[in-house]
This record gives sequence, structure tokens and C-alpha cells, in this order.
Amino acid sequence: MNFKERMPVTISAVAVILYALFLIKTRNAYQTGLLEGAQGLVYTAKSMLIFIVIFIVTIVATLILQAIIEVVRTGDEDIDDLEDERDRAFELYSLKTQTLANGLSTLLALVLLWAGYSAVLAIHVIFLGNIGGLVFGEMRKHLLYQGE
Amino acid sequence: MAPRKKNARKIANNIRRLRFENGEMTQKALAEAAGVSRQTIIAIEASKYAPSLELAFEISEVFGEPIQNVFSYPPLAPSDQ
Repeated sequence: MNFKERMPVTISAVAVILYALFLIKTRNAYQTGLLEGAQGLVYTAKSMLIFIVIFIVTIVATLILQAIIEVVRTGDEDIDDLEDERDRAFELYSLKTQTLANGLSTLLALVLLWAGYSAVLAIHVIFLGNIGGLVFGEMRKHLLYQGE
Repeated sequence: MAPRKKNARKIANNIRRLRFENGEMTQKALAEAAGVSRQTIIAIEASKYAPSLELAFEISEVFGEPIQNVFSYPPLAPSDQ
């Protein structure tokens, strides 16, 4: 597996680990009543924005670290990161999976709102759909790279 | 007419043989000449990825061979028809 083919695994792993930590934090907030009423929406928006920033920083840092390890391991400074038609095709398959998950989660959130559940829960369902879509999309890309 | 089975066949190729007949050309050299990554050449060679028509022509051009000498599509077996 080269650097480019390892990227989907890295992104998925980081997303799963950070989302697990986010869920623990959300559960604590729920138990202490921080998700109630209008302040619950503000708290949710703030914690999700923090998650997104941490996620982007962690991904960039991990990929830089992986690139350095690759250069040290192979001794080749010219990492094969050229994007060609195969990468673009796999990216489209991945995007299709992500779009499906995002669409389903949005639909489910609307149904929950219609059924009288809180807006905070609906936002969390959409957020889970986004993270799940990202992970499934990246895993699909990984399987395609492996020739499955 | 009965519908054909999807993905019943894979595009075969003679890239490995042609590389060796062309001065033991490396996969990296072929990738650079065709404008794709080495991983893509490896995947095409192993029939794990079917290239676009444009890339198939590019690869054929690198070897100076007509496309049918580089890529082939095996005929359907009677059981697949």
C-alpha cells in the first residue's frame, strides 16, 4: 500500500476515534443538561465546530507525519502522489456513498423533527450521517484500491 | 436477446510482455510515459482496473503497437451468453 492508498484508512481511523470522543463528550453534556432548550443548540453548534477544526488539523498532521515516515522508510523523496483517472474514478464512487449517507441522515432528521423530537437530536443525526458517510466512502475507496 | 452478465469478463492485456520486449521498461517508466501513477499501471497489468479508452491508446502508443496487440476482450463463454 502506498501513501495515496493509505490515506482512506488514515482518514477513516481518525474520524472514528475523534467521533467516539465527541460522543462521550456529548453524552456527558446530555447528562448535565447542557443540551436542553435554546442553549443546547448553541452548545451543539460550538462542539461540532470544534470537532471539525480538530478533525482537519489531526488529518493534516497525520498525513504530513505519514509522508515523512514514507520518505524515511523508502528513502525516496518523490512520493507517488500523482492523481490520475483511476483516483478520480474511485473518488466519485466514494462521493456517491457519502452523498447517499448524507441524504439519508437529512431525511431521517426531518422525520424526527416532524415527529416532535428536538432540533439538537436532528442536528446530531445529520452530523452522524456526515461522519458515517465519510467513513463508508473512504472505506469503499480503500476496497477499490485493493481491487475488490 | 438475453441481457449479458455484468462484469463476466475482464479486459486482458500484454503489458508485462511488452515492457520486457521494450528493453525491460519499468512500470515507473511506463507510468511516466502514459501520464499516470505507477499504482495504476500495476492495477491495469493485474487486470484489477480497466483503463479508459484514452489511457489504453496512450499505453499502446508508448509501445508503438496497435491497441488490439496490447489489450483484448476475451469472447463470452457459451455459458455466459
